[in-house]
Amino acid sequence: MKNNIFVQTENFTQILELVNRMENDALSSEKLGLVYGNFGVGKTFAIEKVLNEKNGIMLTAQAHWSVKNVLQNILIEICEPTLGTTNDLFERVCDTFPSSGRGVIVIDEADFLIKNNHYQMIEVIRGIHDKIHIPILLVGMESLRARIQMRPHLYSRFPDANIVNVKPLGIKDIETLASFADVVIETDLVEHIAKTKANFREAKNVIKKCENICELQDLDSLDLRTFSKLHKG
Amino acid sequence: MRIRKSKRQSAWEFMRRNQTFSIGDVMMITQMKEESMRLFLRQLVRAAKVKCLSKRNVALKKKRYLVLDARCVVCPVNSQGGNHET
Repeated sequence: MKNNIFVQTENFTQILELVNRMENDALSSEKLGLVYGNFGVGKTFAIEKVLNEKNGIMLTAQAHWSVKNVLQNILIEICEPTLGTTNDLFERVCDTFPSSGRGVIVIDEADFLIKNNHYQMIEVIRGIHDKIHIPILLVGMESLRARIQMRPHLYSRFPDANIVNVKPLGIKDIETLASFADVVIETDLVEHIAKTKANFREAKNVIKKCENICELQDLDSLDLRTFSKLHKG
Repeated sequence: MRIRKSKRQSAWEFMRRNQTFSIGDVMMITQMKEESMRLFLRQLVRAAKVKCLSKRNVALKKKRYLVLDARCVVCPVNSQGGNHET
């Protein structure tokens, strides 16, 4: 299998479209976005790839963060001083971010922005968005959406079009992944992988296993029957 | 005004965010060529910004590195081989 190929999954395409839309929307429209889904489906890698194409900043929220930490980390990424009161930092972010040349703020592990039903950190993010209308994308686990929904005034700032539920890999994604293999993987085997392996890493390992089997048995292609027989044997 | 990032800057941002990273992942995200990556890494190691965690005989794409100094937001080594601090 060709190494280090980035497979453009449906999830990646959806996230890229979302960021493009948020960037190109009118200045007055809501530009808060939400990407949520289970672990291991490639959220963070998709975001990394999108950020590589856009000149944005990405923060990974931590469990110990406070409001001040959020603001300081944004300021570090745009090379601005981080000294001052929380209010000073907030004003500095709003004053300097638009001229920093950065397009979008992405916050990974955004679940940590809501702690024990305390919404201050996420409210600060909303404050920045309301003041300077920059696209801000929150990335988190399944529960993040429900937690934001508990605050209607906050949730109303996330238009439905700006919410992406990252789904497990589908048949199309596995087909794309299998097309990079050194051997031909038949459709029934692709369907079997899609059914049993929703995790990207696991699917990749099965395809590598298929390549090894083909190499040992001197085969050019592999279907489900042969795979089951040789894999168990 | 949107500033376009160089591949080195993209790679450096990925490294900073991940602290320990494999070269294969950096190359996958940034689409940097192997030769350019090799040169870039050599400069980063010389500037004491990253340190190799893998043994010498491991293939480049499988090598893992650790970021020693993540304070620089701007890529700390330029393409001419010199260093600059930010």
